Amino acid sequence: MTVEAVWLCVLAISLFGAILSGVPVMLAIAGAPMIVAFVASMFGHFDLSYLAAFPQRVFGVMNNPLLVAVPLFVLMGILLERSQQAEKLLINITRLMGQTRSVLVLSVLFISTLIAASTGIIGATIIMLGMISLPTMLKAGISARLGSGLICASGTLGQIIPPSIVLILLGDQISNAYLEAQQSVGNFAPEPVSVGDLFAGALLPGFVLVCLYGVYCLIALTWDARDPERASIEGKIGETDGGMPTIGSLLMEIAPPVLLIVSVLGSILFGIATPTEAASIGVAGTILIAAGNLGEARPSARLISVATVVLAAIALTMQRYGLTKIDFSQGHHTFTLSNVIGCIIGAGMALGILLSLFALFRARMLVPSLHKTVQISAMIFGIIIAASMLSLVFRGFDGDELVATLLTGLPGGHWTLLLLTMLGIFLLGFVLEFIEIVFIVVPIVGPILLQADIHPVWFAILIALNIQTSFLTPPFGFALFYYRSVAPSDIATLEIYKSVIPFVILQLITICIVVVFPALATWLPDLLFG
Amino acid sequence: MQTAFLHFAYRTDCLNKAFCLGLLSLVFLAQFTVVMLRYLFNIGFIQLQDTVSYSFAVLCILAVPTALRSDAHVRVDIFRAEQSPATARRFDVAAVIFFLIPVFGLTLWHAYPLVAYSWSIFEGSRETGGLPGFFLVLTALPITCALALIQGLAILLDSKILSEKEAAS
Repeated sequence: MTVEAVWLCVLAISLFGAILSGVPVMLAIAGAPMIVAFVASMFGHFDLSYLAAFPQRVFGVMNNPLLVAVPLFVLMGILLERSQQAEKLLINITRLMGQTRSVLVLSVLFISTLIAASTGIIGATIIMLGMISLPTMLKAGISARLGSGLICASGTLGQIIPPSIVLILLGDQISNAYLEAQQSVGNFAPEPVSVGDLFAGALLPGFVLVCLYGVYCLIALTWDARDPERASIEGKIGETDGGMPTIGSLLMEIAPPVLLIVSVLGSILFGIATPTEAASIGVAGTILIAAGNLGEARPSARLISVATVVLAAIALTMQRYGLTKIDFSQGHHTFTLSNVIGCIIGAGMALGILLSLFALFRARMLVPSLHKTVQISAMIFGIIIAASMLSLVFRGFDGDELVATLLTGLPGGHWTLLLLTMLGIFLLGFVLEFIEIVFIVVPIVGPILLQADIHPVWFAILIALNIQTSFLTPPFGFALFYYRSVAPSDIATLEIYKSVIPFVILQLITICIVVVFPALATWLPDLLFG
Repeated sequence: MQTAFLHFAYRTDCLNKAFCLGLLSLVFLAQFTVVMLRYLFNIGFIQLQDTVSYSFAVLCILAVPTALRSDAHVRVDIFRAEQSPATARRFDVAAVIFFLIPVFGLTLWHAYPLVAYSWSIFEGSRETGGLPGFFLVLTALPITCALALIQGLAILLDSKILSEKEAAS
């Protein structure tokens, strides 16, 4: 065992110790590796100049355009929660579909999948779901265990269901690794791998996963129903519900948020908008919905928000026929009549949004929501920034080289290598953010593994599923940290850990299914992109 | 002296919080305007896009110290739930001394030359025709470190800060 390997063990142990001590996770992930690095440098085993790169890493996080979507999606979630829209949505969908717990659980799963897919950010999704669905499920008498497990598990779905940031980053790394691997075995013109391939490849495995979750939830509910304590709250769901929703609540409460989420998701999936652009539209829509539902006390707010939505519909129709486009092709802009109308409508929409914002401010909803968003985003960015300190120290101890030597010295061909890679990624997922895993592991093992006859898309999907699983696995899964921060304190941490175990097993089953039937991952991209 | 410092720490945090709220609003309003202009009118301004990136960059880092003070950073409380308040307090003090102060102190130390260089050339946007003042965005990192150190010291001096519950949330 080399000196570095010993220090890496010390690093792992002190990191786990620091996280478990109950201090803020961000401080533990950044602080513990740094202290280990300091101590090691006293023995001359660590070059402290590695740490000088840390500010550059932080600047990298600050200037990452992908991350701008994070606070916007968090704000959208918090506004949906504060205005009780998401809660009404869940309740109304349950009413619409029939009033049983199984329907509620399935609608939570359905809505979670929608939200998870549209945000693609674990932290934001789980926090949003924890605030929105958990109280509704508890009220309906669903056990805290099933609810917690469902929220944590479906919150991580955003990692596998496109458009996910994991898949975007993986696509970049996999295509480089595949190119390198194929060239080293003499194939100088391999088929390139694109992010689109990965998106298409992830759809079917993601679908399988959601179906398995659904089947498990139904089975778990049947078990719960046999529990005599549960059976006593059976009546509650009928008492709180007032029968079928009226047309009015259907129009004002159900349709707007569903349309909003679907259009945000759709515009990302079909490549119309980037996640950040879609998120800002999502926030604007949520502001209108929240202001419109402030209640009878503020009829003017409802009028304003309905008027703004009508203006938006007109603007979209005009845009569809190219009427609003301002033409610069002649070197100077020529305003047509439709341009002028477009500008007036645009100004009207802007005014509508500002007035709705003011209405929310008057209702004392705006400032607390912004405040909460700042804090939750700070928590997410704190962890991302801290994780880059950890990965710096890991590299400073030659951790990446150690892994590479371990992997290449293995007997048993590429199946052993694949198995070990998966195990390694799973373990790393406990301590590192997915960005670090993708950027550390794929460049190391990809060029070795992809020389064999392994489909790069299949390999990427396995990695994505695997990372998603490790986020969910106690005690260090990131999903659980995020969920802990919103779960009420009467749900014990140990209870949360127990709640996700069935879902972890489902994840492992899905991974096995994809291993046995690679076509699940490769059929659709081959069909779409030849 | 101690009261004066705690008061100073409280004031800086209030100021920082208000600034972060403003930045968040700016991120949304500017990004929304960008989207509207692009999709409806097919026009775009790099300066406006830069406003989004700049305010986001400053927001994502400046929010960290205010979350430290409000105890909004997530904890793994599997053992903490069993600890007495005194023990929990000892861990918090240790975290400030051994983790917070070295991490932010070292970041301040290493960030200084980068930021000083950026100031010396008045570094602007990476995009042609973008917004000037990128050096101010980078300056947010040393300011964050200073704020985090101030809040860390305040937590050491006053055991009640972390247990203050936010009236707003």
